[in-house]
Amino acid sequence: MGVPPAPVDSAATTVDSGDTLLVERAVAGDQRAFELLVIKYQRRIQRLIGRMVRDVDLVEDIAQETFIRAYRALHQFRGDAQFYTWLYRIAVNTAKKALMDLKRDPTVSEAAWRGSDDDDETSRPGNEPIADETPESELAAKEIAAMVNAAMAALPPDLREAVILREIEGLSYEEIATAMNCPIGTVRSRIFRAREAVSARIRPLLENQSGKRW
Amino acid sequence: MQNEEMEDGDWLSALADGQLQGEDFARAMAAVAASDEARSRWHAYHVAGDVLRRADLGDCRGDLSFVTRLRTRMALTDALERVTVVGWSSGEAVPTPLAQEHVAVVVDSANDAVVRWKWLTAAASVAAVVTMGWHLSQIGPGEPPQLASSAAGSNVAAATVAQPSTEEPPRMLRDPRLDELLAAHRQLGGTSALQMPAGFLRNATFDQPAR
Repeated sequence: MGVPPAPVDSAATTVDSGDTLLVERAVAGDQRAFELLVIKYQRRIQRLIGRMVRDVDLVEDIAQETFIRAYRALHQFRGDAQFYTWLYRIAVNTAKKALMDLKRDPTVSEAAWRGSDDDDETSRPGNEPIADETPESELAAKEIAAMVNAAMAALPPDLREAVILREIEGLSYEEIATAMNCPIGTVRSRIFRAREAVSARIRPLLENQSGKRW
Repeated sequence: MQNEEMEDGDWLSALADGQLQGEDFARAMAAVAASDEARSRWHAYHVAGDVLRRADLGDCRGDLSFVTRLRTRMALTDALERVTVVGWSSGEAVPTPLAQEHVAVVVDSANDAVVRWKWLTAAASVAAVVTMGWHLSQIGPGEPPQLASSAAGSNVAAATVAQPSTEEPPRMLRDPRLDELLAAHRQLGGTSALQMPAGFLRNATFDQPAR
């Protein structure tokens, strides 16, 4: 299995500074700070691992192991790369090790892992389903996506533009302020109000899906 | 960041974008730690952001259970590591903040008393083996075992202990008082008046060892 290329994170240019502060806080002993990073990245990490492993149960196990390894190695994170890039590398290595162990285990069928040693997430055909894709998960994802799109469509144009520039284009507050010709405080307020409006629409669905207590 | 902004919730969005520093960041973290509502909003913000970037990242049914399970695993791993460290070093283990409440559960397990007794038993066994080995190492190869060192100054000093030798025949232990008694009653020794062997001298003999 080759090494997948470094991930492209369109919204990571300035978000990562927040990640670094959360990492520093977690290294200092604040487990809640690390949990915020887990909540933020768990879906992307599981998605990544799901491209490498066929077994749905293994995907979560490997993702768990990834975050445990990351937590233990947090003090080695120097901040010279984006946190997600660092986490991504740990996830890939953890998945590789799990696959090697699976191949050595005669009780596990080949169907549990995905592809050959030359396989990686970039060589996977685009229409091949990933491990955690089931009809239920696809339906749930579509429900959330439809809800988010409806909420975005209902936003006032200035709020929608601000949050799109932030979440999709990955611009900093300063860059958004320049683009929208408004103060940074206004940008911050618009992004916050846009997020609250979208969040208000999707939170009932999220709580039904994943539970209410964090 | 002003207090009214904290109350508005603007800080959580700013935290998600890495816009808080210093005191503001610390206050925001304290607020998140104290509020399930804040973590729920944090989750919703990031799900929305993920979905805006990639529609197929919207399935978040297992997100909460994932975090809960991870929290438990990290706490158990941390507790086990700390128990190991305490068991192998004489110093205090450095406490980490990961779920301190789970440590007590692991340390005070139900079979702790049994395990301690097993360790004590094993240590006693090792000590006994070492002691016996040390004693055996003090005895030379041709040296007989010393069974009663205090016998040297007693009344039985005349009794001699047969020396282990392959050249000399074994010699009987003789008590001088018994020899005197046998000499004085030689005419009666061996048989009683009924021509039967006397009970208390049944195994004594006047003959020489060469008999």
